[in-house]
Amino acid sequence: MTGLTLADVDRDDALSEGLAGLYGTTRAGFLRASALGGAAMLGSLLTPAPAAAELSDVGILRFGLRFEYLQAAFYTEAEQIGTIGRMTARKQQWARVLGAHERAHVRIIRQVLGPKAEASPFFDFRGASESDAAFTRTAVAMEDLTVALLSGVTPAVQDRRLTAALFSLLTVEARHASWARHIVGTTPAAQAFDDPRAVPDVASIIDDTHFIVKRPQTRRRRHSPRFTG
Amino acid sequence: MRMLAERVGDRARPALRPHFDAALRTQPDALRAAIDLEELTIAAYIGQGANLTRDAIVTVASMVSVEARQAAWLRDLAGEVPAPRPADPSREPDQVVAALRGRSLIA
Repeated sequence: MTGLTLADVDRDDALSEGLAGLYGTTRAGFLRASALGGAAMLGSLLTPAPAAAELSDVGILRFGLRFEYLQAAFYTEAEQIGTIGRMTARKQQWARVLGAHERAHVRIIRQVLGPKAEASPFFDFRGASESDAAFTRTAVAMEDLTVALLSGVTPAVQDRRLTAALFSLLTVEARHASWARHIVGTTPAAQAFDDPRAVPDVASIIDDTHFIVKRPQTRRRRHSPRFTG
Repeated sequence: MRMLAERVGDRARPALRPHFDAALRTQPDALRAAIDLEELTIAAYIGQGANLTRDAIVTVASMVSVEARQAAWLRDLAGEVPAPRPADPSREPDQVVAALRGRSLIA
């Protein structure tokens, strides 16, 4: 499969924009260097060379903010369109607390970044916020992914005050994940250690969902996002 | 515990002496004590976040999240909100020890 470029697999630009902010690579730079030979080549593109793997604290926080924007928008949309209101009382409390926390996390990270904070991207949740089942599946996956992301990026921050701050967000995201898993009847803490994930790995998963879009779109209901799998 | 003991080796401080008699009298007492222990563990790790080496942070980050999962699970079983705040607080070591003594969980 030759001739495949990043533009072909990243139609919404979500991946390249997210990575460009982290690794200082422009979209044009990606596109110049991204004649891909297939999935393995894509994987190697997403794994930065060791020299490029040192993320700046601002880059890490900006990616974290982007992810918090996504979560906050997801819970807010589910509230606004009435999905949460149709759930059991127990699930309503869960979903509303998580939504309030994710919105608070957005405010916290924006405050830390100050003028370096970027605006929220646009989202299209493709039906995942519209039914109890799809919402719950997506929320469980999203919370577990957040834990993996924060476990992965926290060791990379240079400013040790940020380490403590990220720990205090990581533990709350882990509480969310545990609560979500308990709600759906799976083991809340399945392992003695959580598996961390690197930023490009998380960016790739988010990109796969196509939840982040270039501009507002009408909601499409036909496809379940792979993210919820 | 095994991982920490291996990592700290002979630099470990003397172990705190647990005192669980009262805490294990009834199931609600045990649940309460378990929640307190988990919450204090989380606060202690957050409190030391700024003092850890990068290698230690890799380990602690994967461990503190599991402590938080356990705290939330226990709180849910106790009928408490599993995630009561948007950001968890930190505590210094002497505060953690004082809190354990205050709850009669250590001698």
